[in-house]
Amino acid sequence: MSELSNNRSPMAAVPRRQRGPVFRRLRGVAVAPESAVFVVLLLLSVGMAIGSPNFATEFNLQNVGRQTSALAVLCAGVLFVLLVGGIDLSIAGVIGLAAVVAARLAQSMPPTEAFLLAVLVATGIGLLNGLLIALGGLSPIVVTLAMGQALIGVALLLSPNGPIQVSNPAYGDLAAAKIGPVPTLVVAAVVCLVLAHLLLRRFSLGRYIYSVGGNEKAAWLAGVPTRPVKLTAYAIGGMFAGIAGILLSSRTGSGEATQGTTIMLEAYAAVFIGGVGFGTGRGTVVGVALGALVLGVIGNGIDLLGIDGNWQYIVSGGLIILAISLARVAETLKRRHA
Amino acid sequence: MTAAPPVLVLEEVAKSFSGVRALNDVSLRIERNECCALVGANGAGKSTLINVACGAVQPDSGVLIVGGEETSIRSPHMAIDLGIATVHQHNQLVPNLTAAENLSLGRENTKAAGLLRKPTAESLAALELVGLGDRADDLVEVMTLAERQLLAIARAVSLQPRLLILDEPTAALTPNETRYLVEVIERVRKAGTSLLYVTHRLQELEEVADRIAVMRDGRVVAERPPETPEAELVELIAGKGIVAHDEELVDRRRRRALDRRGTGSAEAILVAREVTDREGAFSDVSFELQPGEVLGVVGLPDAGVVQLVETLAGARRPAKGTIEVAGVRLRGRSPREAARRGIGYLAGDRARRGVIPNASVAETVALSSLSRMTRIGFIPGRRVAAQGERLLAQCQVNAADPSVPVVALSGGNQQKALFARVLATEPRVVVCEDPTAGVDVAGRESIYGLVSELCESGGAVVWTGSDLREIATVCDRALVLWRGTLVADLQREELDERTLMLAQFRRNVTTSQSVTRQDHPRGEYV
Repeated sequence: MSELSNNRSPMAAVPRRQRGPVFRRLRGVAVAPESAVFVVLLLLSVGMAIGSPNFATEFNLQNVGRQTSALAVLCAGVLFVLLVGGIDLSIAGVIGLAAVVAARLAQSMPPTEAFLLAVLVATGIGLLNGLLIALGGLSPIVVTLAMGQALIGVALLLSPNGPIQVSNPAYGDLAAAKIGPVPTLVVAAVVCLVLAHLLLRRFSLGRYIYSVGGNEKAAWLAGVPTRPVKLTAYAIGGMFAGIAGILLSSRTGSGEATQGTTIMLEAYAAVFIGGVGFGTGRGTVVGVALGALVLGVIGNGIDLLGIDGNWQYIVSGGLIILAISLARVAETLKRRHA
Repeated sequence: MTAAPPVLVLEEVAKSFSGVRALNDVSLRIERNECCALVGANGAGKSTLINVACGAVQPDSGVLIVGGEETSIRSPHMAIDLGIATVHQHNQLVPNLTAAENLSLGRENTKAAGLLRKPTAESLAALELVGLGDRADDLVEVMTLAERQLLAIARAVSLQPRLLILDEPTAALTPNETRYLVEVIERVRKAGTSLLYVTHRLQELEEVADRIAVMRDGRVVAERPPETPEAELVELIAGKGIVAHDEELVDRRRRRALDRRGTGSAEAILVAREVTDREGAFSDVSFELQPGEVLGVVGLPDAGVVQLVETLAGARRPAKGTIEVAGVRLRGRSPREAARRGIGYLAGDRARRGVIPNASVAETVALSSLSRMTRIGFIPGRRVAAQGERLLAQCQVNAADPSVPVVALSGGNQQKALFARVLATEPRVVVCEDPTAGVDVAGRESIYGLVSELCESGGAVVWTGSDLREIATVCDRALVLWRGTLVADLQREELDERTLMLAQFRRNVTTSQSVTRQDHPRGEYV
């Protein structure tokens, strides 16, 4: 989308009124669902800054960043799978397994290598999901739900004495360290998000992913290798879930099999708040990152204001319904306009 | 004269779709207890007429009289209330319910608190009438096509309509099944229901119909008794022979033909040998396509044209036979593979099989050629943009800005953008299905121009579509399929709308090039 919008149209003599690429671009940004999420985030943050003196402090913002990093990375993975019209419910299991594998391996090797291997395992599981779904033609919901169950079982078997505490202090460095004032966790998340964004926007894979989500049949007829594309989307989903798993594990300094269950639901909440459609091939990395931040700020706000933490679920549930209702209204308005 | 008023009268009903007249002041009356057959070529307006009668489409003007009372049919539901039941070609049965459950779907007979009752005697009687009395508890998904057709008829009959509309009920049936269906129709009529029977198969009419109405160009042009000879009907359907009228196009075509002759026997660009479909839609089709040629492929809906074209485009793998593009064999794996071998595919049904709704115009144009432009998957933005601009200009796509969604364009511009997408892969052969459907006149002209350009630069085109006049104008040659068999290969000199029409119905096209086959692989019901 963005590559061409800077260039002048070849139709010099189009009678329709034209208003410069800058205007069009701005208008495009204004009507994007991401803008609505951004406004929500802004309002929330301003509200919090007014409501609590502790919100806009360096320490607290670092905290929000740390809390949101793993979620944002996970959201990027979920985005890839949702864009090809699929769903991945195994990510809870993938996170648990990645955390346990990393923690176990870190007892006998440097944490970096342990992290790498854990992410590799997670990617492999994503690939397996993809094989079963894209090539085997199995239902994504059923396959990934079953896979998630099984993986939690494997993770539990790998940690027979409960959560594995890693003795090597370097294991927690990823979470604890900072680059300047920015926590490494945030840096890691940003790197992942930028990577995801580039993959979707600048690589043919991304174009193919969007086209499969938009109209799989038409994409296939147009020469898109739809099955490999879906397979890759699941593999990438698994990879990001694995990265999210090691980020979480590094933060707690331990590997716990059931670490992923809550964050999976949060991730789906965040992507839907971030404007991703279910089976429409719509959604962007920017949107899901903003969605994750909205949830992060809400969670943080609930802590700071001393509200019962369980309210967080109710608020995020309400926000999802609000978000998809708004998207629906916008769609109806657009259709009426056309 | 008759005591009872006719069940349905249409007076000067007109309907246009985006400027194209589908019904042109059509008038038709269906008497009580009558079976009126409706025949006509593709695009003659039969479907629109059915849709008006069953409430799916609202006419622009005209009068509808049902059972003597002037009325308007605003919805399918209302049509049923007025006593007009329709069995569509692709009947809407729920496969995972039983025959009896389908029969009463939407009108379930319930006790208090919504508990279902056993099927009533009447609903079972409807099944009995079509001969499915013993299949009441069978799931629809285990039934044959013919049984489903019968069930759909039973369902319509159980609404106790005064008029039953059947849209191509025999299209998918074998001769024996057809014969049985004709009996069932006779029974339905004896039970006091009038019928409007729409078909392409003229052979059945003598047994089924009391009267045959022929549609052409959106109106009923003739009404004939059932014993009318088939040849006469085909003449009526085809109308006066219309010679290609677009002089410029014809001119270009002629020049191309001369060029080809000048260069001697050019190597065939596409060779199909004894290609046979997996599902039996066509068999043993062989032909060659020369560079610079536009080859039309025509046939009635059950002729296998769509399947053959999909096979050529790589979207359908044949059971046997070979297709070669410039000497390289097509494996029939996917349209992607076909595109790599030099076949571009402009699929029909733009909305469902062409356009990707979340893509911009620029993205649409680039999609098929991305893999040949990317470097390790990375899209070179400038090159892609330059290619896009060039192709959009070449195809005269009227888009103010290539970054707008492709669905925001008009039908014609969408189609041109899709054509640009095909051209981006630099194809040797372009296979197109009804490329001018829903395209305005100007858009059609540019598509014809693109086809000509492609041919002049040594490519070739396979063209299908329902508009025979267009095919007669655009194509250099045309293959005619009849129930899956290649029955005629019409050369330039004999190519006109009328010959095409006659050939579709397999009426003596007495030319040297006609292929005559005695051993027809599928059942004969002629």
